[in-house]
Amino acid sequence: MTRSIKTIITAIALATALGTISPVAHGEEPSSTYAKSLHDKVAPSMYAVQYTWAYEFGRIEFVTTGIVVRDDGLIAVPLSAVGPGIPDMQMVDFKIIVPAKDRDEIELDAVFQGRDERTQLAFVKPKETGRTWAAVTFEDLPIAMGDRVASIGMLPKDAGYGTYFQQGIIGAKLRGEQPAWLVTDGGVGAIGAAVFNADGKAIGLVMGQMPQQPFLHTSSDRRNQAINTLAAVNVSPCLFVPTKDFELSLKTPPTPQQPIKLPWIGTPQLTGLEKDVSEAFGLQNQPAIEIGDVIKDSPADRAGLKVGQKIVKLNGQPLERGDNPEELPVILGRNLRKLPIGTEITLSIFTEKDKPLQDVKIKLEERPKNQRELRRFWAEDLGFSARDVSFEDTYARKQAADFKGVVVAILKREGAAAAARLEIGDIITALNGTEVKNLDQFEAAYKALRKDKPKEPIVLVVLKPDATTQTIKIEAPQ
Amino acid sequence: MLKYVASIVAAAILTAGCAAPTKPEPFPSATPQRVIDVTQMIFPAVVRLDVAQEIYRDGKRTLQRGIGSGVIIDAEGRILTNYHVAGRAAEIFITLYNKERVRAALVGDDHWTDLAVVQLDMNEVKRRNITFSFAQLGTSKGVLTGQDVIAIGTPFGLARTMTLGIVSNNERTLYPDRVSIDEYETADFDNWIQMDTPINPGNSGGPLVDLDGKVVGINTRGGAQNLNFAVPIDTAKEVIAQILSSAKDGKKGHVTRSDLGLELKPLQDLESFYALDINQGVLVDSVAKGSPAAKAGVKTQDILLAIDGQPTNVRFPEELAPSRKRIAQLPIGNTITLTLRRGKETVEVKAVTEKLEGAVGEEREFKIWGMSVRDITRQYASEGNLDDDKGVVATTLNPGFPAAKADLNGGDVIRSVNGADVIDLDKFASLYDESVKKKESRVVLGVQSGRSRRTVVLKVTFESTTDDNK
Repeated sequence: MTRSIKTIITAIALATALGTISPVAHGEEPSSTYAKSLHDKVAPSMYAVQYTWAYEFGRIEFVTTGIVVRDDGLIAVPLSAVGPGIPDMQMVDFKIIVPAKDRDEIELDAVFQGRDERTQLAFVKPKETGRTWAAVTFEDLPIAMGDRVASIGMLPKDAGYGTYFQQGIIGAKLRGEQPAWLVTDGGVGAIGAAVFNADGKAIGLVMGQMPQQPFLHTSSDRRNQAINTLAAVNVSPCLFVPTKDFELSLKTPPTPQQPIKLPWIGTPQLTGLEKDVSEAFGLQNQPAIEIGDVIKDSPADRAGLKVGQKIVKLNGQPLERGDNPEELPVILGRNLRKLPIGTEITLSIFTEKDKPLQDVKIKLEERPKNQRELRRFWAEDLGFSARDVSFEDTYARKQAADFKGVVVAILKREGAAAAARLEIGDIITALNGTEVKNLDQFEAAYKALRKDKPKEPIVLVVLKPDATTQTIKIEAPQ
Repeated sequence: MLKYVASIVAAAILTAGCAAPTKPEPFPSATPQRVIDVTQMIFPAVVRLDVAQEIYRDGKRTLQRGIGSGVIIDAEGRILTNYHVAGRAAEIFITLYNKERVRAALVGDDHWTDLAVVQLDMNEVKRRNITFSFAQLGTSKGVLTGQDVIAIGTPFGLARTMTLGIVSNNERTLYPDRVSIDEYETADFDNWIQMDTPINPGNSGGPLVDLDGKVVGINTRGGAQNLNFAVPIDTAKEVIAQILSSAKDGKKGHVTRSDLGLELKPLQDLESFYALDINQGVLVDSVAKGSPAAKAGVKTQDILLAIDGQPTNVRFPEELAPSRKRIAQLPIGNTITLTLRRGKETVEVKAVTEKLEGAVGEEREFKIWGMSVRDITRQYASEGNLDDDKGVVATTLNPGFPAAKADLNGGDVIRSVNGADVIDLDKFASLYDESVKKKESRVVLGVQSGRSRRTVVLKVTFESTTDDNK
């Protein structure tokens, strides 16, 4: 526990003993002293975290709320603030902004530690060591209906990244991809805010709220319009995720050297069984998931899982229920994501009515790389970016996993490639009659061609998203 | 290139050096008297069509009403119009020049050329002593860019509207764009006539006539800024003949075409890349999965040089439609020889032509389950990257009925009903009939959407009928 929290807890304990203020009991209005003391305790742990998306056409800054979770200054930010659409290599210039009322804000250089999709968090760390940091300690404590909760959130840039207090009552529990508590009678702070119980202990984080943006500021005008001082408070966010669901990340956060590797079994199409479907298979009152596809040579395939089978148990336990059957697969996915690669799981499989369940052991393997993890090559003169082929690309097009080519990732609207009707998502399989194998080879061949014959057109053969092919001639700018 | 420029310069000098040639007029021009004469000649053959087309919406067969134009083409009361006016028509009423309204019926249609043939109810015509005249069909082969033309039709329902203009282009292709009528492919096999005669919604199906009063095209599409298009009458003549000869015993007439499953691309400026002589061959841009060409081993990037020894040369986009048409006109089920240039080699493969099918299969309504369903054609399967053409595809759903309530979606492919494989629409219909007859309250459907298989259970309720109450 950090010193600042200790101090405040001691202060509250002392005050209790003296009988001047009491900690807030369930459902009671907290005193203004509680609000002030909580705010003053947590505010030094909250920072604005900034990064720049340096993409093909320019640079956009984004600022989000960060909270210090370790004494060395490790800061957690909501995963939604480091958009899944942004390639890793294009996120640069991370900064920690130290807000201040009475002097200019300070910018500290920071290092991105990585995304953690196990829990929907991401982390940054200051480059310099030696600075003292006040961390918030998140605890997995009981939460019950009617509990008073308070949270400290951060205001947008035009309010100087000030911190604010928000409170409410636990109104409902929601199950789903991420379990969340619904806070009524007030609500919680904006995305990134920490949530506290009546004893001033950190019990959860505000992760995502529709339609709130996870940003405090961005240099993109269009997006910035949606961010203003009052928006943070006015949308009255009301959901937070309890510590239990993300403490894994706090214990084993990613580092640049050891990014989080996610496991998979190779069944990308899962459907939670609706009541009528369950009944038709005699599976009433048992949460069950139908396997809609099994990837060839994946762990599931090797373990003998088949399309049409139903998963009814994970490691001997019935599947965790969501609030509706659609949530069953995402909950299973969330639970599997938290397991290390190499873990052996047992799925109990229903094959046919009146037949015993079949236990299938599957060893978790690393998930194939996703698009944003792949490097891009910006062919600036013709106006397109290419990247290596990802599993998603070949899967969607029903091509073999080792399909050779590079994928068009972005197109300059007025560029030569766009004029020739190259489209985002096209897989380039040949460049001037030579087969394209991967990005490195494509990049080298492309550069050589453009250097040797800068005025000559290039001819690409592409595989379209509908699995047809096209020959595309791109005229070089003269 | 230099040589080409030189010859243009030479031609320009030659032209400049001569006096304007005095050639006989290739076509009469639009003098005021001529326009009036032609109008009076053609007007009595132009009709308004009030059509109810069969469509499927919210899981039900329903009728969509619209207005279009048409031209009477013979003394038997046959009317030529557009597919998008009268194709799939369940009801047609014709308003003649003399303002009389007569019932008509669809003889046959062809979405590929956007044409349909309609038959006036001649019994009614005779009974009521109604008279009409018919237009002379000319030829579109000699239509020249710049020639005066007249369009007649029913824009916005305003009957007998005549507009005057010129032919802007006599071989219009929209390549590389593709056009369609709802989901039906069209304009693959012919270039169009482009003209600046104002065309508005409702003009469709009306005649485009020259100043001899002969029909040279069917007004089909109006664009903004007076870019309008007509289907050439030579195309229409072939389609009329096929529709009339195939319409028998109450069956709708149609046009039969061959297919190889090739997507062709003009070679313009790519000849040197493929080391070909100028204007030799056509590029195979794509080969449809499971198509005759795929079975024959034709590959993407092959250059198709000849079909049965006849050269297929497509240098310019305008040559694409005629080349597709050549394939379409091959006899169905015949073995043909394709000469291909593959890299540096020339290879010959044998392919067996199949009947051309569009992507849109036959559609029916399945009332009790609350859904409309279409047969899956090979083309649909190919475009959707499906594994095969087995099954049927759910098109529209009736909210509140079993299919919609079971979270079935438009586009879902139904592969089985209660464990029995669905091969096609007929099989699906028989399984439906059987299930309804047995009054099954639970129906298990095996469904494929994208790469996902899932089970859907329809919860069917049968309202008690009067029969049950007896």
